Amino acid sequence: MYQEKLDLLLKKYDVPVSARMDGTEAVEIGGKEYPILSHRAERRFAELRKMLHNGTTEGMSAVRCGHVAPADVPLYDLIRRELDIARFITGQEIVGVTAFVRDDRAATLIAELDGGPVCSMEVANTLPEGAKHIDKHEVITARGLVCDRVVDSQIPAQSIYLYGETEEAYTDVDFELYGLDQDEVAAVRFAFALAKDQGLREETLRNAETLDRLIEAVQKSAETGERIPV
Amino acid sequence: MEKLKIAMMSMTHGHTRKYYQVLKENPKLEWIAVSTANEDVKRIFLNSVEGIPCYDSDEEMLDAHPEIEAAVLASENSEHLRQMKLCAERGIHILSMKIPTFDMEEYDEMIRLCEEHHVVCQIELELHYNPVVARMKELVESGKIGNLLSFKATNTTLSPVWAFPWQGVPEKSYGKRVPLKDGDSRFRGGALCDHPHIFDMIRHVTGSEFDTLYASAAPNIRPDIEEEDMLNIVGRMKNGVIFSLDPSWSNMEERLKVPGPGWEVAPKRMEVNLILCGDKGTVMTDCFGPNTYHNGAPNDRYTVNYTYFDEWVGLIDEFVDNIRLDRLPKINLRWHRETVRVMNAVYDSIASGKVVQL
Repeated sequence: MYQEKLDLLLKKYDVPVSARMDGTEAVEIGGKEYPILSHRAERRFAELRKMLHNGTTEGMSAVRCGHVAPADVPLYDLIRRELDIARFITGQEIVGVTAFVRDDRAATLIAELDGGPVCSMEVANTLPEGAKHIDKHEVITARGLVCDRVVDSQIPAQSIYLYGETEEAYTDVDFELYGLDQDEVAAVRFAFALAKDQGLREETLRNAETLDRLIEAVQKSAETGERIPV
Repeated sequence: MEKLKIAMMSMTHGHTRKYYQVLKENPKLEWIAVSTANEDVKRIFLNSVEGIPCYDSDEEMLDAHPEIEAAVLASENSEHLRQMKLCAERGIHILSMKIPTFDMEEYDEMIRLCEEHHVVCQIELELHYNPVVARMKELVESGKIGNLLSFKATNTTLSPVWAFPWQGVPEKSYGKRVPLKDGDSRFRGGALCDHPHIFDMIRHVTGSEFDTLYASAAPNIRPDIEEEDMLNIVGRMKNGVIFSLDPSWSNMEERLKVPGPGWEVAPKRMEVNLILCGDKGTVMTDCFGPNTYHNGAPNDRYTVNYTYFDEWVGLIDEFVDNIRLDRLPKINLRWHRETVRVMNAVYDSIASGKVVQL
């Protein structure tokens, strides 16, 4: 399914690159494998990033990232994603982490960014398997806040709610890739962006290395109970 | 597939800027030129897009570029017939804005012109290329809410009249100056004329046509404009589905000359929400949500920042395929005629204060 959708985009936009995508984790381009940092292709994060850098807000102070996932999602995958979202939307590097982890099911941490903002993060994989992820990202600045969730709400809004014999909810965000869910759309879009852009491929490898180092720091902090400079 | 050589005309319509990105990025298109209706829109266009020849008249552009195969008529409603004639007689395919005309004789003349000259005329009703609408329709067709009983829809926005002044001029928006009703200082041509989508969508979803309707215009929230800005419609389709439609300009705006950040006074610029109740369940749909949100510059107000909005990609893809593969557009002039006729009936109901049988 992913390959079919990726091929559709490659063909439509005349991108003469051979790319193979079997899942949402990685894509092979020209015989080399690249990690898919799909959140970087999610439009809500692109919009948050834009509003933090185009003059809508100024004076970043605090970044708040929360994410509760189903039980089958590895905790450190969640931490890795949220750390990179903080880096992506702020455009800043993390210089220190202090983390508390409980049973590989829940984590709280503070990440300090090189421009001064402080990021607080709470993640857990404590939802039932098959449940929809619940996440929220908010940045407080000296001139207003930006957020991917509507004010005064705890859980993500959906585009469609169906109340019948069963209760269902849907959010469809991409007409070209209709049929994929939001995360799958983001993965295919990121794979397509990689296929189009050699520079992005190199940058992604560097980001993956940075995230490896950050995860090591989180693990070390959780083990030692100390702040770990990065 | 050979690239479609496309042009834009007038550039006075509120949707003009929606085309900039898709005309530049869609590999099926070659954007040849634009013609601008006045110095204001010319300046805005030249400040927004580089490298596209810009002409002061439609004829000048078409004469200079006989290679043009298709045109987007991004103009006020009162210009559509003239431009359609200009295009059809040259064999140029047409992408019309959402209201070709409210004059049904003019409308039939448009149908005749396009059929006689064998040109594609597609109407820009972008909700048909919205993924949320696609899902909603799929759910209804799956039978999950059973037999449809009622259809409620909002298509509310801010008023575009400050940025696109023709929409505040009854002759340019509605085509002529017709009082809203006896003793009312307002004229036809306001919020209703801006919002055909939900009248089209109920026909699309129910597969039925309008049977009866009653409409009432509320007092304007902008007392200084000449046209209606708040109204509601209720009624019944021929298959028995009852409906409630709200096509108002209920989202108050700053009076900007050029749309941009800070346009909103109400937190959101627009919404299209549909609530469909069936005998086995209910489906609630926000066609343009969820989004991202801020309370930053320029006015430090809580604001919805529209995040997922790419209807023009699918719309243009279909337009190119219709031309290259000789297909009838999903939203063609003949299909859309009934929607426009019903919108006129809404005005008739407001004028008479009575239920109108269609």
